[in-house]
Amino acid sequence: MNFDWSILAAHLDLLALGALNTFLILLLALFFGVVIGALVCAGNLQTRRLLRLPSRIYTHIFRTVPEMALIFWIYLSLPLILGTSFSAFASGILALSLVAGAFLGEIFRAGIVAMPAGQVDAANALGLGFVARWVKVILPQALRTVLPAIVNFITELLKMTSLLAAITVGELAYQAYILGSQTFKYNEFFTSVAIAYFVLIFPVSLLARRLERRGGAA
Amino acid sequence: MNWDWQFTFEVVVPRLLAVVPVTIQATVLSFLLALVLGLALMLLRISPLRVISIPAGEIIEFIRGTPLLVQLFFLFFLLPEIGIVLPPLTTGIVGLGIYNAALCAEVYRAGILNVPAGQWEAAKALNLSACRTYRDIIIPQSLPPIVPALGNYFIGIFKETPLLSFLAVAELMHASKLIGSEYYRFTEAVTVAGVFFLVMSLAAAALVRFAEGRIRGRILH
Repeated sequence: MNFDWSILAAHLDLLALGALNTFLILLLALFFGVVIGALVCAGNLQTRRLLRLPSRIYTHIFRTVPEMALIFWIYLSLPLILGTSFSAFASGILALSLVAGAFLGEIFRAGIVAMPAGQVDAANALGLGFVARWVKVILPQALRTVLPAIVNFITELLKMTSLLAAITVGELAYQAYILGSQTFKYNEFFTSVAIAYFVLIFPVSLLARRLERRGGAA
Repeated sequence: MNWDWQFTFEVVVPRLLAVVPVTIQATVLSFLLALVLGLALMLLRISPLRVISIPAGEIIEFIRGTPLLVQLFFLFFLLPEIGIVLPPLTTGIVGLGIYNAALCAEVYRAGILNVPAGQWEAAKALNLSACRTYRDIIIPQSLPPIVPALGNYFIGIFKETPLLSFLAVAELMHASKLIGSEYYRFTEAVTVAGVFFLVMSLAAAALVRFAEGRIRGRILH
């Protein structure tokens, strides 16, 4: 088994496109995931049980159904139900955003719940309004607590983007699979793509570990 | 859109039920492999010899830092090239097992590092052998935080089994796609598969919680 560098160089454009798509998917899914997560978290923090219910159900479903099944369902079934069609890319983003929303919602909630109750009481006692209470007191503290968890989740999400290869979204894993099957040089493509993912993910997980340690020290 | 209940109950449900054992088999065997392999990786990782512990750490980091899908492709397409031809299901179980072993190794390590240093010193002062130190002192104390985390990985492995459909393993996801393309009715096939996964995940979560309670009870008494 010898490693053919020239085949990698010949298809560098497609691999670069794949890496770019992976990055784009990550950013979009993360953005929508944060929005959904904030809504889910807001629902989960309601004092009335009935108002909490939708968020509870949402979190439960999207954390337990395998991502793969959800991706296929959104790509294959949802268009038939709605009577419209999405591109593979849009379906993939939608699926990952829904999953990210469920996980991030729980992370946000953990941060807010972990905050000492005295902080909110103090904000109330100082007569801070709703906006000032959230922007100046609750969010800065809660975000600092959960930042390592969020960064860790980003590495998970980055690995999850590879699943979109199943519905022919042209991200990194899909390009490797297609190029491998066209040229029969599986070794070259899978090895380089595995290294590419590692190079993307490792710095992020190092950052998470560093943030964790700093949080522990403070 | 029209949902065909007759098709659902006469074709989709029986055919999916028929492959549920494959999914369960893949989950359980991968989990067992991950538990054992994870232990081996962890022992290498905490070895006092840096020649062993540093490469072991790098390997764990690399496995954790690449998507499972890429690893599965790697095993599926490259093992035959070096002369190892395994059935797809075995390849899938090995892939899931190795990936989760790296995760389990970190969990074990966290559990063992969690045991206060005084316990090690006391074991040494009492002149206990390495085997007895681990068996009677360290492992019983490190288990309580480890068990719930391992339970989560069990559910995680179950959630990862649909990836084996890439290797044409006849598990739930693969079967539902097959039904979908045979009858061109994806709605029923994929939705029912999703419901199957949801129900089985909830059952697995309940099982894990039950096992956790039992094991914790036994350790503390």
